[in-house]
Amino acid sequence: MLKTIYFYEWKQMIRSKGLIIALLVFTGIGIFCLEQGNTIYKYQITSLDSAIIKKNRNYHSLKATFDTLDQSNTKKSSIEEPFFLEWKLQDVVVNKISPLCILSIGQSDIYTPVISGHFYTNIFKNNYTEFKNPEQLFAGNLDLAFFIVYLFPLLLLAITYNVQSSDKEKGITPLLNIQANSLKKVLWYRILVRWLISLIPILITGIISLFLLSSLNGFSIKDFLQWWFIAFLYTIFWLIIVLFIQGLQFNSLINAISLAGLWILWLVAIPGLLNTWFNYQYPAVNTTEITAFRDFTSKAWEKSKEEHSKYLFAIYPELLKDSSKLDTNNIKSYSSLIQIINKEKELQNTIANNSKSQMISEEKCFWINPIGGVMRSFTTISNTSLEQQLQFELSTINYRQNKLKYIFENNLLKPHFTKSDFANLPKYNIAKTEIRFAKYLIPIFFIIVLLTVLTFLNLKSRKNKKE
Amino acid sequence: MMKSIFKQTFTNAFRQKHLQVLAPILILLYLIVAFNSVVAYKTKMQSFEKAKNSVREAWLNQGPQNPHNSAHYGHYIFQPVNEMHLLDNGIRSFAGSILRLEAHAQNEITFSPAADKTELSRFGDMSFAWMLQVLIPLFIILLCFNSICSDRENQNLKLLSAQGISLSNYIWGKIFSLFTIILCLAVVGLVIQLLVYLVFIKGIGSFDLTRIVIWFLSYVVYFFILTGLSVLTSAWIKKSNTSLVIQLSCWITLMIVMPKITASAGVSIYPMEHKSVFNKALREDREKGIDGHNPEDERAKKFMDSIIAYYKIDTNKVKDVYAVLPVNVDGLVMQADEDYANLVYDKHFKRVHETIIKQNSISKYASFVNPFLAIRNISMGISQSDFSSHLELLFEAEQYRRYLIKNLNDKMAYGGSKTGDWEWKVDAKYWETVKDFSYPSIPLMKNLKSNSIELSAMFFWIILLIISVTLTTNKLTVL
Repeated sequence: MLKTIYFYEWKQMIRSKGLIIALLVFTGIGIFCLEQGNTIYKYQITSLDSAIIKKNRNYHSLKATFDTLDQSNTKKSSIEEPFFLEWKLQDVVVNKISPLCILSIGQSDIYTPVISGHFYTNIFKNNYTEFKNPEQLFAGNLDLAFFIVYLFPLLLLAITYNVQSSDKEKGITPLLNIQANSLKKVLWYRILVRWLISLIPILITGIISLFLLSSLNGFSIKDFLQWWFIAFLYTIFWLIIVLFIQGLQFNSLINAISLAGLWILWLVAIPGLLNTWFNYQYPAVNTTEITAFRDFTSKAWEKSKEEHSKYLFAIYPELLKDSSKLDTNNIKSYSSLIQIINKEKELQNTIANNSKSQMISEEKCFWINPIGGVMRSFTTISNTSLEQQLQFELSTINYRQNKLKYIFENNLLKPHFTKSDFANLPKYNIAKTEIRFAKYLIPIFFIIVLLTVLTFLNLKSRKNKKE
Repeated sequence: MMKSIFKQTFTNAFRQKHLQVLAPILILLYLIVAFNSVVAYKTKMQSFEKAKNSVREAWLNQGPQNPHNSAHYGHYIFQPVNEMHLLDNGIRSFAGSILRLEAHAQNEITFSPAADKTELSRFGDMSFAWMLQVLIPLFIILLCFNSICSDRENQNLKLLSAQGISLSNYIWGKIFSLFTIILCLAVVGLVIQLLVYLVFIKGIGSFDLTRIVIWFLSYVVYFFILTGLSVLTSAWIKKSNTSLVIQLSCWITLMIVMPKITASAGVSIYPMEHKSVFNKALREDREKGIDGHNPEDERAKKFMDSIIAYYKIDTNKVKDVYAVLPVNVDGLVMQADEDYANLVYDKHFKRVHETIIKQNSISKYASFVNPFLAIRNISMGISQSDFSSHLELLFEAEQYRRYLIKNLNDKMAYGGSKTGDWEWKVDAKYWETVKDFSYPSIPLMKNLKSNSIELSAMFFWIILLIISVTLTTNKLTVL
């Protein structure tokens, strides 16, 4: 029977110019989404590459400078001085950009993938942040995740909302009732075939995305398949919703209103209301804390040399022995910078904790906002989530802190900062995180199971009524 | 005749069950949005006032200090909050909120509230403007999708036609009656918002009523256009459910998909230059000027020589030229550096801002295809939450930075210090003489002028609607 229905629906589709145009338009939008994602990815990769090239060039030229130094003198050359060395190094730290960012841009258009690695700068003043058009950010991106989350359901709803009711309205139902063993089975098979038809644009964009992404650095087939698995699960979610609504046997108008209503509820109303609530619950960074950080920085530098020496010797008691020989400017700088970077870390942690609390609250709401869970899964796999950005920023501060410590310790404790010291400068490492997204999908999975059960029960109760 | 149709449609619409169910939901949402706006406004206002005052206080309480140290200490400008933001917050979540002003550099505004938010924030949040722009049109569709086709389906149209009704009166009667219902719903929304603001926000009396009236009037025009289009679609499509599906598809395309497409198209057509390219160009141009912090710089030396020549000091006779000079040359060199840097910043930032304006122009012109884009931009413009208002703030802030740094450099130069004396400090009272930043207030006419394309688009839609009604009247079939 499935085969017959398949051929019937296929012929219907070929005959329906409107549907073919819709499929072509959707495929076109899907390809456009890929192109948009690719443009943003390329833009970010160019920023990243130019920063890395510049960093490497500076690093190697500076390394070569150490060969020309005569370190037999007691006097240090300017290149050995921490600030001069850092200034010459023009260090930057870059985040990993996954090629899957093409599929789901997430917040990566807002976040910055390049941060200055200078120990004397701070994370709040980043000269590498690309220019952004707020109006464009406000409108949002047209990426494949958006295409699947927002547009796919519309296509499915448009071609399935009247599968059964139109037959009823045309008076074909009694005819089918005589011919078919089970009218429900026919209905389900027809919806299934139409669901498969609505998957055509997704399938085409999926194949194109595989070709596009597989040639890029850092492409992981496992992540790619996981991403598409989520997309597939999401399409099943809407299939079950359609089956459930059709099972209720309303007329076409009520079907259209109910399905469109559910779409609006899950994709516009609930996320909008939740965002409104979260904006109130977790307001953005406190401006006074940022200005207070400037005052802290300024005061740290204004402290007397004695205060700085006291602070530093408490950390490095071994320095006390030869304290008279130490460069007082370096003591002041090191002590100030340690205090400033600690304060910066504290402030960043406050901001991160606020964001993390919001993330946890959002996760709890995935039960009423299951599509939020799908979105978060997409961004988690694509490395474009807030959590991953926060981790990047925190590891950048840690790296700068380690470098500060390394350079100043070597300067204060050793007569010279040598080439091997330079070669052993701390390297930036972002803590590897396990990509865990299953927990975000539990609500949507639960809803699928629940609706499936309800649809079956509904079918059973109608059968019983008939008998 | 038109009056009867108006009355009949009006009564029928109120009998519709979905209107009876959805109207209270809409009113509930109005209340939620109003209270949320109040809370958000209060939080932002408090934070803004606190930050603004603490920065000024810190400035005034610097104590004796070297002016150039103060120039590096700098000043902060914050994203201002005004009463219109209660109604439409526009792009403000995506624009930076803190701008640091300091010597030698024109910084960019940082800390956009959206940067601390998760990807779910991109689903958007609710504001009264959002409800009027997105939800009310949905309501219009639900109210109007079958306004004419149902009359055709149940043969009412045939009956009316037989009675000799003018089709033009019939269509306009439908449009005006349904528009009145929508207008009532919108007015209720506005009244709720204003009442909640008046009750829960102290000192809200400063509300600019003219601005609100014009803001709301633009929405009235928008609703009229949409109601007209929805009724016309119902006339063109024969089946109610097909009309509904088509209108819902249009709603999604125009309100959700198209804004993204136009924004993306803007970025593709006018790509933004990379920061590394910008920084390089800026650095190269700046290197051609005076280095205010390096007396060994050749141009700085020449500049210093010109000052010595100006004061007619014979360098052959005077050993320490700078000790004799009545001015501190360091201050003058730094100001010369600033003057040159300002030209460089103007040149480069102008290019970036022009690119953004060009990118946004796509959405502006797309208003002729999509009235939603027109009202979105007009609403943000009048509420001063659009990009041009943001740009105005940046411009004023930069002017203030220049005033501030010049003031400090002049103090350094003419305040009584000698060249090379970086330990010299000004009296603590001096800080009071530096005026505080005054946040720009943009006149309504300027806001409207910056949205002239969108206003023209609205006018175009009205004309198009009138023409379409006339054409439809001639071609409307009763069967």
